[in-house]
Amino acid sequence: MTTDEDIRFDKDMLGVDHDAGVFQAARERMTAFALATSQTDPIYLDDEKGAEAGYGGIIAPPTFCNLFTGAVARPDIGLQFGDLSFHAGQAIENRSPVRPGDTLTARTRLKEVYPKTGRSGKMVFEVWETTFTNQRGETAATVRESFVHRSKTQP
Amino acid sequence: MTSPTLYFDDIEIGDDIGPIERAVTHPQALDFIAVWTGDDRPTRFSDRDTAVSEGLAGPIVPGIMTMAFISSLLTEWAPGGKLAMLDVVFRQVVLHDVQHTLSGIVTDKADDRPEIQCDVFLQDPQGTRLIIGKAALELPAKGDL
Repeated sequence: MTTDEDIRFDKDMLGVDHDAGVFQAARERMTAFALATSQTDPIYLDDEKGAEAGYGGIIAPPTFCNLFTGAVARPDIGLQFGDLSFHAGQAIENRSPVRPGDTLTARTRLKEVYPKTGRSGKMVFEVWETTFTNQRGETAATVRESFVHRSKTQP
Repeated sequence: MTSPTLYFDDIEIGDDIGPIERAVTHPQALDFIAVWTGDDRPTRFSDRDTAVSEGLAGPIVPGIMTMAFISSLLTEWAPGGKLAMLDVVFRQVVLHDVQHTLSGIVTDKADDRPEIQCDVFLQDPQGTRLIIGKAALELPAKGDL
């Protein structure tokens, strides 16, 4: 069994906010994302329909901020466990619609690191939470990403 | 969407969501990757040889692309609804060019606001749930709660 004490990483990183980049919500990227994921609701594609829905024009589909997470700058936490990593899960909470031209400032923090034992043996989960805030100071979305680390060969 | 057709008031706990069928073709995956990263270097998401070299059966659909499809499951079921939260676990990989089934079930209704909680699933043709998750959806209401 793996305990919290067995996991070696920089524990001072826990809960500390870091600048993680500034991202532009370009209109072309928003509509391309909608079309590439078959989300054809007119509020994503037609300014007139978006305005009728009360948004003043088109908005991005609900999981749009996920696109930015791959480019979020994260500090190295020095985690020493296993030699395989996988994307284990992701969560997004939407607060304010993303509009074309929005500038989204990302802040990220290490939320938790914890062990678990599954059918494939010992694992360690590394969880990051990133908040995207627009130029009006509104939180657009919070994204939580979970990564699992384990060894290729288990005892 | 300007004509809501599904109201909070009309939904019962236990109502089914979907199912809908989705198969991500290889060209669709490449289109998504172009929007996501703009990088055309071969990866497990775009290239069969790379995916196989990593022990996969073939190129896989990016997790955030599957999240977009689960989002569309909910918003197509409830036009006018707003996805407040989606939380998924990637249990197994999702391969290109395989017909998958997305579905959900309403598990709770809030007492103080027009919001429902759902469990959501993406399963392969054998019925294996490759992705499981939870979602919260805000819906239009006919009147005050």
